[in-house]
Amino acid sequence: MDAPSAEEFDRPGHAPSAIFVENLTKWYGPRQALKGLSFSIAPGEVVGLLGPNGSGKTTTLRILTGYLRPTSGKALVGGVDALEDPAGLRAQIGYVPEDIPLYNNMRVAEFLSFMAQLKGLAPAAAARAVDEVSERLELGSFLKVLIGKLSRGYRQRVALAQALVSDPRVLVMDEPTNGLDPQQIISTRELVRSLAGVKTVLIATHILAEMQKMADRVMILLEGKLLADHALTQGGPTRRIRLSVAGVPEQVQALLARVAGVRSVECEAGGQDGAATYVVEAEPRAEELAARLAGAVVGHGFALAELADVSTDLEQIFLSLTRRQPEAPL
Amino acid sequence: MRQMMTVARQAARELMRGWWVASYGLFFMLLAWALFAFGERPAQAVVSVLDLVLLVIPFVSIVVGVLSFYNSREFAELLLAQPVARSTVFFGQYLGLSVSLAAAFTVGLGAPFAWYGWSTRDQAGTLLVLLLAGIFLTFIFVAFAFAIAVRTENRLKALGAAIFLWLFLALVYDGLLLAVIMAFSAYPLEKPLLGLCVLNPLDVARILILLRLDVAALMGYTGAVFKQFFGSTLGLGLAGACLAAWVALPVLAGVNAYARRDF
Repeated sequence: MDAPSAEEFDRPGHAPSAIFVENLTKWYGPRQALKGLSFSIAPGEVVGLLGPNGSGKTTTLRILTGYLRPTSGKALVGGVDALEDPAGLRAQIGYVPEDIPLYNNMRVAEFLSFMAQLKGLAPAAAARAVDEVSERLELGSFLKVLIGKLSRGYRQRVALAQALVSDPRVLVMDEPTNGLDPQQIISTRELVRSLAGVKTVLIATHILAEMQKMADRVMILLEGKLLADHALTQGGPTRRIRLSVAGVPEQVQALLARVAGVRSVECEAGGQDGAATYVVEAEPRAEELAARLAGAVVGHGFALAELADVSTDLEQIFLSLTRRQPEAPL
Repeated sequence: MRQMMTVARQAARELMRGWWVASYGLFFMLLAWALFAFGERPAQAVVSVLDLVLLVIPFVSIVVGVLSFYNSREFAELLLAQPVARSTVFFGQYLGLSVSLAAAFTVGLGAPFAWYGWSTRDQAGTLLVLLLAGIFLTFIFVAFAFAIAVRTENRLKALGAAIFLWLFLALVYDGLLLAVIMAFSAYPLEKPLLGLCVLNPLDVARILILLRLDVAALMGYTGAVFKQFFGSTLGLGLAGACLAAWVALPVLAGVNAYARRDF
């Protein structure tokens, strides 16, 4: 799939973007880390930025958080330009960096209060914000504990708390589940999902399975370029099933269209032995759809040659896209 | 401003937790106590303290400055992603470190002087100049450290450059001055020498303190010229301005590089 152009994002009638990136490039000396990256994220979306190591994920996040300057191009968060008003842009963002750089000698409450004040909150407001965020992230009993004594999972939680302490519109996370045990991964996932619709969340990761469970949409990045931008089945608008059925196409198409949950049926091409291929688009959460489709086809005396769920499989997309690319130069 | 103070307090707290600052203050305290306890005359103690102030403060400030800057880089990604200007983070860290070191020196050195009853107007004036010189040197050499560290990716290279700069200003520069004096001994060098001294903050600090003591009389005609110049309001103002400029120049160079650099 081609990377969408920036013009598509800003076309009239579209909701204003929470994050808007256009033709972003970044050079580190002779090496180009980003090669004209463009994308847009709507308010409330949870979006995954996928790519192998060195694909430009962290550079993109660092530009969006104002930590790095782009060589050229545009990066806006909440309509604020990263180059024109970097501090204004950062005010909209809560950032969880990859390696969780926390002050080990500080206690959790002290650290969160420090970060809240750094984000511009007055001491009293900072204290209230710390109480709220620690309650939300179940850090209440750890407020007096030294950060250096916390487990990796709780450090991650503290990092997330500092990002949320000023109640930002946008949350940017770099590899949030790195090094966490399964229980901690699940709780991070649940937390991120609880933010969907409330905050815009951008997560960079190379763990495909996590993204499939966490994000509404993924963008695949390779060698600084956006290769694909996919809505995921789980949160996305449709589920797709491909059937190969022998029979009169008009009758089969009409039959499939009557099955509950089906939105549309397309007859794609003729198959073997007089069978035709149909692609059914249905509601994402239509239960036992495959069984009902098969039942309808067989029940009406048509021969069912093939039935396959062709909903977005992230791993397949990722592998097919990244395999097509030549090896990165050393 | 509030955010700068937040960063400064945090930088100071981090430094205090490492016991570095307490040890540094304790060092000056024990040293001054020993010099008073075992020295014959108080002025002698001041001269000895002066020598150590001129060597130890710049060295500790520049080395701790470089190390502290690199330690804080671990948190730079988090701090610089907050809605604060980069200059605020830079100034906050600079102030936190400089003020902590200067406070440790002031308390450490001031306590023994107070203990030994340096309370007359003249004695208090000398102590004040000594403390002010030490404070200025702290701010100057921490600024040098930050200006070097912000431009150098490699910690060891930065440390090497910092120690070289300290060595040059503390020892080599005066050696070069002596060579100039020897080479041009037939010429009246007092005024050019005055200008050359002003170019080295350590020399300005040294002259300001020495001129408060009797030993200035031993410096002959040059001493008299220096005393006349630095004893005047203009001379004192110029010396103060010179030290302030030595603080401002590396700080501005550092903050400028910090604002533009990619970490």
